[in-house]
Amino acid sequence: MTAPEVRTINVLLVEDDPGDVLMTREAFDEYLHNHLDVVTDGADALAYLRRQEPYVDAPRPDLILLDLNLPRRDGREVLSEVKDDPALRHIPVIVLTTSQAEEDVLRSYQLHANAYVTKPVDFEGFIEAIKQIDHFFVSVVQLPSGPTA
Amino acid sequence: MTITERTDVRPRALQRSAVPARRSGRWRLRRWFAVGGTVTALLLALAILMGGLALDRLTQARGALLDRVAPAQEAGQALSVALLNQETGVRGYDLSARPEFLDPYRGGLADEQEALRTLNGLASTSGLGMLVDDVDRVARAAQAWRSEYAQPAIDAVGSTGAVVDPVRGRQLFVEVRAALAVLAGDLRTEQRAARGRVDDAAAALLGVGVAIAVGLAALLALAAIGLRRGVLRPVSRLAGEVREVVSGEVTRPVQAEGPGEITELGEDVEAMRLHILRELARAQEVNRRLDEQTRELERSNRDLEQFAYLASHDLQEPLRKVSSFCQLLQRRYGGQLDERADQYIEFAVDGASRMQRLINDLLAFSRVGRSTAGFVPVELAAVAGAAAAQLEAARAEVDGELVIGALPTVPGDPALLRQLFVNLVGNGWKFHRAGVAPVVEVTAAAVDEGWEVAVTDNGIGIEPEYGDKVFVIFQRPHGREVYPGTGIGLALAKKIVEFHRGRIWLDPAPGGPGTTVRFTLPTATPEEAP
Repeated sequence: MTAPEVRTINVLLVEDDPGDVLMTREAFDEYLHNHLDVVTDGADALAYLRRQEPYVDAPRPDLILLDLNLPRRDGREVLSEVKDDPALRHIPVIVLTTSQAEEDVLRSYQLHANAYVTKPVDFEGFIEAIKQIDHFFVSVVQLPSGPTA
Repeated sequence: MTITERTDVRPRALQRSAVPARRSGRWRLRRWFAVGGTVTALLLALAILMGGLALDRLTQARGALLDRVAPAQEAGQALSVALLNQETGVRGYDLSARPEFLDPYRGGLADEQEALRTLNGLASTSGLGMLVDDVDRVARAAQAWRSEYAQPAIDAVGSTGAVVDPVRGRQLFVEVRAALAVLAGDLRTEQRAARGRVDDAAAALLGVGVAIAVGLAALLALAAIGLRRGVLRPVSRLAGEVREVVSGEVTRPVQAEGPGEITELGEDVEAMRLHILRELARAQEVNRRLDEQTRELERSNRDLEQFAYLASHDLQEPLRKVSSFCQLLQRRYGGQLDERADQYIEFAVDGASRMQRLINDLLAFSRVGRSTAGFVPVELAAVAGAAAAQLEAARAEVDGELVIGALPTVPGDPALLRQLFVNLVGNGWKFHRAGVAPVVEVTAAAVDEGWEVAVTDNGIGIEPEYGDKVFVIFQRPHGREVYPGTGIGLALAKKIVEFHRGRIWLDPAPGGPGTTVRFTLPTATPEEAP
C-alpha cells in the first residue's frame, strides 16, 4: 500500500498589507507544505497569472487567495478578469478580506469567487482558517489540472 | 437644528379691499327697495284718490237722481193730480151743489200745497234751480184759476145771481195744465240728464278700476323683473361661483355683479377665497419646511451611523495586527524570553482581544438601522430557535434549560430579532447563579399595540437601582472579573427593540430571584422601516 501522496500545490497570495503577508507566510511555513508566492497589488497579480514581465517564469497557481482592497488594480477587478479569462477561470479564487460587508460578499460571489472568507480577528482563528482552506482545497476537493496553457 | 412647529394655526382677520363696493351707476338694493316702496305707496295713494273721486262722483250722481230728481218728478205728478182733483171737485160741486163733492177740491188743495212745498224745497237745492220758475208758474197759474174761477165758482153755488164764466175758467185751467206740462217736461229733461251723469260716473269708476288693475299688474311685473335681474340672477351666479370654490376650485376668482349688497357679498367671498389660498400656501410652506427638517435630521442620523460604522470598521484592522502579532510573539518566542516578558505579552494580547470584542459590539450596535430592507413577517419561534442553536455551546457549558413558549409572528428584521434573542437568552447563561442550573423562559402575550415578550432567567438579577441604566451602552453592574462581557448586550437589545418601534424595560417585580426583561413589538405595520 503506497503512502498517501502529500500533494504540494502552488498558492498565489494577492495581498498588499505586509502584516497580513507575514502572518500568512507564518501560517503556511509552520503548518502547510505548499509553495506560496506573494504579489502585492492587482496589476502584478494579473501579470503573474499571465506570465508577463517580470513573472515570465511564474508557476501556474492551483489556488489564489485574493484580498479585495488592493492598489493599482482592485481585487474585484482582478477577480472579474480572472474569471473572464478562459485560461485562468478554472483556478479557484478565495476572497480573503477583512470586510464583512454584505455587498462585498454578494459581489464577490456574483463575480464567481469560489469562496469568501473574512479574516478572523485573532491569529488563532486565522491559522485555523488557513488550515481549513488548505485542507478543503487540497485534500477534500479535486483541483483541475488546468488547460494546457 | 430646531424644529419649528405651529401648534396653533388660526386664520388672520380677513382683509377687505379699501375701496368701497359701489359700482358706478348701480343702485344698492336698499335704494331700490326704498324707491320701489315709495313709488308703490304713491301709486296706491293715487289709485285710492282716483277711485274715491270716481266713487264720489257716482254717489253724487246717484244721489241727485234718486234723492232729488225722482222725488221732484213724483211731486210733479202729485201736483198734477192735486190740481186735477181740484178741478174735478169744483166741477162736481158746481154740478151737484153737494158739499161732499168739494172734498177732492179741498184734498187737492192740501196736496197741491204739499207738492209745491216739496218741489220748492227740491228746487231750491243746487242742480234743480231751473225748476223754480216752472213751479212758480204752476203755482201762479193755479192761484189765478182758483182766485178767478174756482173760488168764485164755489162761492157762487147756492147763491143765485152770481155767474162765473166757465170759458174763462177753462182757459185758466189750460194755462195751469200748460205750466204743469212745462214742469213735467223740464223734470223729464232733468231726469235724463241725471241718468246720463250716473252712467258717466259709473263708466268713470269702471275706468279707474281697470286702470288700477292694469297698473297693479304692471307694477307686479316690474317688481318681478326687477327682482330677477337685480337679485335672483346675481345671487344664483354668485352661489354658482361659491359652489365651485367649495368643490375645490380655489384658484378661480369670485366676481359678483349686481346691486351693491351682492357685489359686497361677492367681494367678501373673494376675500375669503384668497384667505383660504393664503392659509393653504402657508400650511404647504410649513409642511415643506417640516419635510425639509425631517430630511435634514434623517441625513444627519445616517451620517452619524455611517461614521460609527466606518470608525469601528477601520479600527478593526490595526487592532487585528496588534492582536495577531502579539499572539505570534507568544507562540514563537513564548518560552525564550523571561517570565516578565511573557506577562507583558499576555496583557497586550488580552487588551487587544478585549478591544476587538468592544469594537465588534460597537459595529453591531451601529449596524442596527443601517439595513435598507423593509420589515417582513418574522416567526419569532423560528428566530428564538435559531438564537438557541447559536448559543448551544454556552448553554451546554452551564447546563442551562431553555423554555420557549408560544411565540407570534411579527413584522421585523429577522437578523436583528435573532441578535436580540441571542443577547437576552445569552445573558441568562452568562449571569447565572453559582451552583444553580440556569433556566431561561421566553413567553409572549398579546397587548394593545401588538405583542409583549418576556425573557426570564433565574440568575443573579439586577439591582433595582440600576433600573434603566443597564440599557445604557457600556454600563456594567458587575466587575469584569466576575462576569465577562462588554456591557453592550442590553444596549444593543434596546436599540433593536426601538428600531422595531417597541419598548423595552426591566420587569420591576419578578417572581423570584433573577431578571425579567420585557419588550413590546408592535404589529401595526409602519409604511417603511425607519
